[in-house]
Amino acid sequence: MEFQLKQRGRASLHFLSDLAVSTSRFKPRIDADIKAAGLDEATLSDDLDERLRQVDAALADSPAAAALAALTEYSGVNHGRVAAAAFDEVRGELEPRLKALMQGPTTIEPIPGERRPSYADAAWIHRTTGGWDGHEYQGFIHGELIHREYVARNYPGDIFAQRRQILSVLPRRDYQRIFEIGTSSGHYTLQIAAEFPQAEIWGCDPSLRMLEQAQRVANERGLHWRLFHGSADRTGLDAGSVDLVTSYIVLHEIPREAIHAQLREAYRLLRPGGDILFSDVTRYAALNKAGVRWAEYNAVHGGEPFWRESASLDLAEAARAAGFVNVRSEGFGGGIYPWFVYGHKPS
Amino acid sequence: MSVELTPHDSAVRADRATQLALTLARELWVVKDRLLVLESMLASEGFAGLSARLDAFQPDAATRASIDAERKRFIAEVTAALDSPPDRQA
Repeated sequence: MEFQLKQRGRASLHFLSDLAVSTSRFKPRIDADIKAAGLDEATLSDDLDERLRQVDAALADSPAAAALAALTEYSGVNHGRVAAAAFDEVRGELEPRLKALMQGPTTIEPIPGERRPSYADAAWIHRTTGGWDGHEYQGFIHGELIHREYVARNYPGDIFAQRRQILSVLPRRDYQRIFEIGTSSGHYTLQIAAEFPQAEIWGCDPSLRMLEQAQRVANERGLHWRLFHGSADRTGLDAGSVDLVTSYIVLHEIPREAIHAQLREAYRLLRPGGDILFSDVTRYAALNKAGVRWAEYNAVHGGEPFWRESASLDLAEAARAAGFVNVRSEGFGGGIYPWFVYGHKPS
Repeated sequence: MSVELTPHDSAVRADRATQLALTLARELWVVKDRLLVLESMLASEGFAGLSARLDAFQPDAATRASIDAERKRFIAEVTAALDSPPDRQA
């Protein structure tokens, strides 16, 4: 949907985005400060909590570390507030169009099973003000303002192209019904729909506000998605009803037990011969000690309460435990990000 | 749940003065951006003598009320940065 922010909202969002980009210059200096303190792969502790304490002590007098922490804190606390304020400035103009786009071929219905898992309220994920349901139009605010104006400008590569490219991992192009976990505002769903135009798209999310934006995105394009408001841990949907279950950058936002539950549920939902493709952040096992320390830093500052337990999980083992075969757990294209786990349900 | 902040990062997070300075910087940028937009628009329309007219300008009652409301909003934004972040309040 084409829209324009007012000057205050546009300038504020761009300021925050560029401020976040500017933090990258501190990281090499912090790495140098850590090295100067005698910490390297040989001397950093194997125990992660102890390693964090080692680095913390080493950086106690580091101006670069203090600057990064202050800027990261500011961005974390304020990006959601600024985006919501930018939306509120133009709400009167946008609201009729947003409401109109909720009418169309894409529907939202309650999932038959669990509506909202307890961990969904454990924290404001990403420290976004109010969490996923923190504003009546949080889906639009997150999907169109935060994701496009803030996240996309702060992460390497084209985050939308990555969602399309990962689908090349899949061995089939003839899926008839695809179930997406964590549909959110529909960025990955759009790529699935483009890659598999013949497939019927189902999606689910515990956040109704986010699903409403996915509904608008689909209706604007005349797409017919069936969206379920609720958890993917226990959907209550019929067994053997889909050919592919997939998610993108969801696993690190749920606890370890929920990952196991979603793998089990995916296996149940799949017809024999079906596939899973779950993409997520880099596994800790694929990083060195310093890399894990940076991941922890970003997780703790960025409002990611489940990142550590999720990124520490052996996804291949978890997928096999759920019954999948031909399992692959690796970085896409020989890299380390995005990471994915693929599995096949035997015919 | 993931680990808590390290002591050093907790200290930085508790430094509300730095957060205040960053909030002021953002507000300052919004104003600078607006002035740049304004200058560009006026120049494109051949407007001359703006600086002198700004210095001499006396707001009427409606303009004064508008400025008052905007200043209150600005102060609320600045003071919010001195408070605990909303997701960390008890």
